[in-house]
Amino acid sequence: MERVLIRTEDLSKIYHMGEVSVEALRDANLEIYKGEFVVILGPSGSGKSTLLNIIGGMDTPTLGKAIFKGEELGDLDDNGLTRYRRENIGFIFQFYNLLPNLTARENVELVTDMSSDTLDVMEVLDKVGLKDRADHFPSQLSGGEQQRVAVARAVAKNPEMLLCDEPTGALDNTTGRVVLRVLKEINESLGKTVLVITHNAAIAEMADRVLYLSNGRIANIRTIENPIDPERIEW
Amino acid sequence: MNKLMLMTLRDIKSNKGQYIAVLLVVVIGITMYNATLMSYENLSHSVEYYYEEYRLPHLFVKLNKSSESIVSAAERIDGVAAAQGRLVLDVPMEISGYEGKIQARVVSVPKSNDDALNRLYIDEGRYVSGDYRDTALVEKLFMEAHGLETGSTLYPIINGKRIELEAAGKAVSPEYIYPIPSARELMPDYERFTILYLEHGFMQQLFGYEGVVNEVVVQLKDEAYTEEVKKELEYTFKHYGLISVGEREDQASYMMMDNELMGLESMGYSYPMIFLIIGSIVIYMLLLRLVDNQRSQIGVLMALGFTKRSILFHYLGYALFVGFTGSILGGLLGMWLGGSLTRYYLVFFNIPVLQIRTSLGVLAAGILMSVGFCGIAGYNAAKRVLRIAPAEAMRPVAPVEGKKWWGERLLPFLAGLRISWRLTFRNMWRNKKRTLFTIFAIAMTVGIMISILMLLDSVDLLFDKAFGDSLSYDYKVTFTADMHQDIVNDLMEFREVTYAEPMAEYPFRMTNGWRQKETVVEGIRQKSDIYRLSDLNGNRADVPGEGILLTEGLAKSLGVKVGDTISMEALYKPGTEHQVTVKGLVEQYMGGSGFMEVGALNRAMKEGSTISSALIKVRYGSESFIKELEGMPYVQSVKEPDDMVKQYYEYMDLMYAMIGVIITMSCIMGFAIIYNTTTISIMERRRELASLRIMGFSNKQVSELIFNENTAVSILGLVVGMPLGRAIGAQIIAFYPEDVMSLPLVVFPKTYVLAAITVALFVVLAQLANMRRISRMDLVEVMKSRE
Repeated sequence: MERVLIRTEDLSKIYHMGEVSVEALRDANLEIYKGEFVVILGPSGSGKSTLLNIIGGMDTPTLGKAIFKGEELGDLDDNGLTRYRRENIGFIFQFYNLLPNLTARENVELVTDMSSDTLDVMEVLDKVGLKDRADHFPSQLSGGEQQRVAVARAVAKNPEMLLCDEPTGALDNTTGRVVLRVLKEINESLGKTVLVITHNAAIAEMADRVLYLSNGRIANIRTIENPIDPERIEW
Repeated sequence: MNKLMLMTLRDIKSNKGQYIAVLLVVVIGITMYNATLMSYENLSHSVEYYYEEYRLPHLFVKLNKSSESIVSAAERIDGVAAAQGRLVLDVPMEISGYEGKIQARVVSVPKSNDDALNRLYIDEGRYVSGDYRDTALVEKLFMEAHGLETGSTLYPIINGKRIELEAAGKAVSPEYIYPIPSARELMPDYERFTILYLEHGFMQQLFGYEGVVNEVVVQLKDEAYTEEVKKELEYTFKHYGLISVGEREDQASYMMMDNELMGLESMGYSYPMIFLIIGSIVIYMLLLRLVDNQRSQIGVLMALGFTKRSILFHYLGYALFVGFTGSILGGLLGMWLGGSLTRYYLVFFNIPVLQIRTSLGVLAAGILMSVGFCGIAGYNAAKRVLRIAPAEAMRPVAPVEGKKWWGERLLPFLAGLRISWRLTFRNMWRNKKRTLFTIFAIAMTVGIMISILMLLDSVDLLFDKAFGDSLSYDYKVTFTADMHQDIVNDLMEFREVTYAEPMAEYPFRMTNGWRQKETVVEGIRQKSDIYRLSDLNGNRADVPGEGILLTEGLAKSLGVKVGDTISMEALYKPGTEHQVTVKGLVEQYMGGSGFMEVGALNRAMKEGSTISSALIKVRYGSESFIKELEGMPYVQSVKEPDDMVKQYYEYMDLMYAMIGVIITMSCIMGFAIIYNTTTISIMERRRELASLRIMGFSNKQVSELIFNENTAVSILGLVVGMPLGRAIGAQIIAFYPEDVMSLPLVVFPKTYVLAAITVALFVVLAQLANMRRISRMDLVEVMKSRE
């Protein structure tokens, strides 16, 4: 029924640190479908960030393949990966990483300026509830607001998929819930695939599917029949 | 080794590019300082010692032929230590195997060299005492230029007779360490001007001047009484054919040497200072970034129990390392370069008692200066360590406060720029201090370049004006003595001469109230087509039938304007004093600084139609005629208008070498600045830049952001640096004495363009050198680490 957006085949990543080799990811096989809300859950060191980085085109696997819409990421050179990130992926980081010198609106415009087929900046800011704060600089915004600007920035260029690395990690639960609410809404109303990695198990309940990672392996994949509303998540 | 020191050294090693760049700037500054000041000390000590030991007189009394007995009158004046009468006469001279005309200045010296003022340094051969007749000591550089040796024969033409003299040896006099006939000649011509030293009695006999002197040189007991003794001398000799009483400072060789020393000393301080200031600024910026980047590390050190003071010293260590290493390297290089510079000076100056010694004082001052400058810069950057609380240091830095800057509010078009450019300007605004420093540093680089290149522009323009269209004669024929104007008609008789014009050049003393100036006045034909003057606007100016035209420089130093009346008196003809009206101001040429109609000049001299030279045009292919002309007894020299230019450009070799060195050094400095600011701004914003890369900005787009910033800062630096360079250049030019050579203030557009291209090149090079930092940025790593 669903279209596969990204598929990995026996994905492994081995880091060599001096004489020690660390296998961060081992034979990961998974498929992510268009329009899905997926949470990747696991303790720190379980390999979730590695997986996210490879899917996001920021890192390359040691073995195996990551295939996005039939195109293997391993075949792309540096420029190809840059283009892949620009066109298909919207990143959201734990620490927002907004440019301090640009206002909320300008941070979003920064990405819309370089892509075609983008969404209207003000509409997106409206969607994350920051229309009125558009001309504020990051230092004038709360953490939750800054993260919502980051979400707007990721969404505005109209990517296929949002990759969120601990998006609520630096937030208290109230503001965290607001950010999750925004993510869910973008997933539902715009049909964007959202992939959230977190060590916070409570968040998993709002997803369509949950991948459990442990020691670099995918330990379990669970489909959730009735995802709960983000407002009801407690942690 | 202390662990903190180890950290310092390792840090320096891993950022060696930046430290090498700043070290270079410091090394250059200290090298220049040591090289110039050491040669200054070498030269000034040597010269002083030479003047003292070889008894350079303090006062020079020029007289018309006067009885020798008046010398004792000078000796009796209070404050006079010694006085000596002598004969000084210029004659043409020939030597075998050389076609050119030689001007020989024949100077009489006493029987014993030991008692003499202007004692001679005998480089080779023996002194000319009374026992050896028909011998002369000859100026050393002339002998060397012609390959003459002791025993060679010289043929001076005295009273129209070709005399034979044997060279007794090579000699150097403190009066001619820079052997030029007068201050009007800028460069020595070792082939065509020389000094012959003849025993006094022998010279009197040879010239038929028995019992007569025309100069009295005076040594003072105490220089403090120069003015008093001068007045006394003027009074004493008033009725004995006094022409002038001159001080050492009026003496050509002394003046040139003094100028050179003053220039060397001021260069020894000014340029190195600029380099040290720039070096300190770069160190300051480097350390500021280092401390900010290592906040958490500082926190850890504090938590471990290191005192703030020891951490402060740790960071100060970077600056002191650069300052100390730089001063030692610069000291060594400077000593080596100073030696060569001093030796280079010897090509131009005849200083037989050169004392090269390593001045520990200069060396120590260099080290102190370098360590001081770097230390102050380092301390100012590192002192922020003192404000850091340990717990706070371990936490990430609060986000930088973003702000729109007033430029965007004031100039709406700035707010309408593309985001990448808006970002550029805001970043510059965010780091106001650094932006300003960088602009200042680039401005100084540009300033140094322009100020130096401007000298060349000015010299070119001067020559272009002096020898371009305005002087269209082929040769200037200078006579051995004053001639009647009719000689011009005689010259016209020659088949080869198509045109001839009279010219007179005589030294005058110009007086306006208490202001006095000795200068050469040129008499030329009215409406001359081959010797044209131009007014200050560049339009043609013509000498008036009566009255005088002055150069701007002379008018200024006399404090007169057009319409004023000044008094002029021929230097060699006392009693010719009379009033003359200033009819206009003209551009400065080399040579005279007053211009009159030749007849008017004659009237001023109270003489008939007398001229000293003629300007001629000749038919094509008249080389052999010119040779013939040069050989005529009444002809002193035949020169092309650009002979002087040729000679000057030869002399310029040294100047070009210096200019080359300074420009190279300022280029290194410019590159070091831009390279370092580029590196710093990349390192500082790694996280920002990595975010952009992750969002899909290409390496090129990210580099562009940095490039834009450098470009904007460099343009501002250029805008400030160009007028700054012109101002510095004007200061340097003002330093040249006006009566020797007054350079026009000009910067050719090509100089500005060259400066702009150079800076653009630095920006591109610095960018290329840093491209790797951007393209090799490990995105995952940068995002993970929370600096």
